[in-house]
Amino acid sequence: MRVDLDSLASFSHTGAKGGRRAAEALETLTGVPAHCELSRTTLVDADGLSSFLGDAATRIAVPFDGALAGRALVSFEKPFAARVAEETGTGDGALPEVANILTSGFVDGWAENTEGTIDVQPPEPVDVDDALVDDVAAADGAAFVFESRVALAGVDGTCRFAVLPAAEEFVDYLGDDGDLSADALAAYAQLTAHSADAVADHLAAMTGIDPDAVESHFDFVPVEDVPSLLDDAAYEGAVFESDGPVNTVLAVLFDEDESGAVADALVAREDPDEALAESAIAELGNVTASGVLDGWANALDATIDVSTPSHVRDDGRAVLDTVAAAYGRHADTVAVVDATVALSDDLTCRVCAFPSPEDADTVAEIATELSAGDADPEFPPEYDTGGDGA
Amino acid sequence: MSSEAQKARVSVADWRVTDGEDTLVTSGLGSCVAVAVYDADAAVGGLLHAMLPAAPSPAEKPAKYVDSGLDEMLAAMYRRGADPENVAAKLVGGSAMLDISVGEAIGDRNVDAAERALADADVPLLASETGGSTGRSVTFSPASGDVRIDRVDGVDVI
Repeated sequence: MRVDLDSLASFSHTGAKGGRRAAEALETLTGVPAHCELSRTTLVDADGLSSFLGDAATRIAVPFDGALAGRALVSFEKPFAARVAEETGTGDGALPEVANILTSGFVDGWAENTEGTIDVQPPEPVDVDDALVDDVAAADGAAFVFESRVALAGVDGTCRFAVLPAAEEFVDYLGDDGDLSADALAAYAQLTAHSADAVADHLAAMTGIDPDAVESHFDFVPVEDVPSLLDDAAYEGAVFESDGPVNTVLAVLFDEDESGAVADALVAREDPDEALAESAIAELGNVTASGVLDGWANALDATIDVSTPSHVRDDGRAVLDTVAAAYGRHADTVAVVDATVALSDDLTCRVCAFPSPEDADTVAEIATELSAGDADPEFPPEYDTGGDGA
Repeated sequence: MSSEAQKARVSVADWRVTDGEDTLVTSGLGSCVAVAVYDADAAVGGLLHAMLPAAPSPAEKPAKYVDSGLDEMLAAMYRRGADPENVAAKLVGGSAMLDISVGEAIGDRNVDAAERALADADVPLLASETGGSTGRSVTFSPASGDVRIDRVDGVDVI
């Protein structure tokens, strides 16, 4: 089985276009400047799927059928919902209609790529997550999700918009494209699950903290949306570059509610020496990054070297802005292995690995090997790092 | 519909033009640059958040690039009533946060491209804060020309 990243990237273009149309429709309806801050096409396993489905209390489902069937789940954060209600002058009753307009804007992009039509049905309530997961899982519990987040000018919170093609119909739809299969989609979800497990294992070994939760997904993101994978809060961590069969930029970032919190939680230190703390955090990132990349190297029976880390303590979006610009010359869409490990209520580690778009075939090979189950991540791994962790 | 002053967000690889008391905001500038151009008399301004210095021909998404993005944004400002003889610019961003080989020195090249593109368009560059190794967010008020720069280590207004 081979997996064609280019084909998946073409789905991502359609999703991004749908997100922009949804924002334009909302701006027209409300008169408030709107923009789509993130569109991504995501492969996620069953464990991580619920995080894309929104909060039941704020969720409206809009089914669609025809050339492609499925449903959109539109979740409104409170300030966003209040502003929409105010601007449309119809109160909360406007939200189902807004959900409908957003969904129509989105599926118009799909309809342009098909010969048939896609019909949007009236909005309906949905409140049971388990049933949703069963409905949309495409293969081995993995699901394909198109996610867009639309923001209104001057309004806190967003409208989160997840389009979930129905499993059976979507597999049929993929059947027309010889480059994709349900198994291929599941392979990418497994690649991310392996990588997230490696992150969790190495962080636990280094810090002695057992992770509370691990989530992972494989995203296809327009390069200009890459910064929006993180919020504009401060993060501390390290960014690496790998060299070998897959060139990858890999960011290991801890969200930091208060300056110094990451070092306090993770680094045993009696003397709060800032340089030592930076060095320790960089080393923690180094071991974590190496853990992910060793899993990939094992799958290929090859060696992947890791560069000296760049220590960062900055706005998360600015960190990824630099990664986006670095790849922007070469690609419109980039793949991201995205893992989140919650070490405690106050401390979360986010790992984003950006394989070079030029190495897409090798990433496909890794996904295939890992999904075959014959290349489990080695633990403890043998490190092969070029960096000194300083 | 809303009539009060609004704060509109400008995404990466995008620009937006506004007038009156509205402000334009873009966040998370790393190696990207923000180019703020305004005609204070007409209270018309635009903010570009560009990723790369020079557009290929043809450019599928002009706002991704400093040169083609600035061309598009200036044309939109002039259609909105800005006077080409009365516009001025401020420039922010182009930092070097990461020591990675891919996209090397992209921040410096973005700054150079912005200075060159503004000169080619006869738009004077009044102030800038560029380079360094920190991220920045920008809030731009076209009516005053003020550009507020937020970093993790402080705030400046140029």
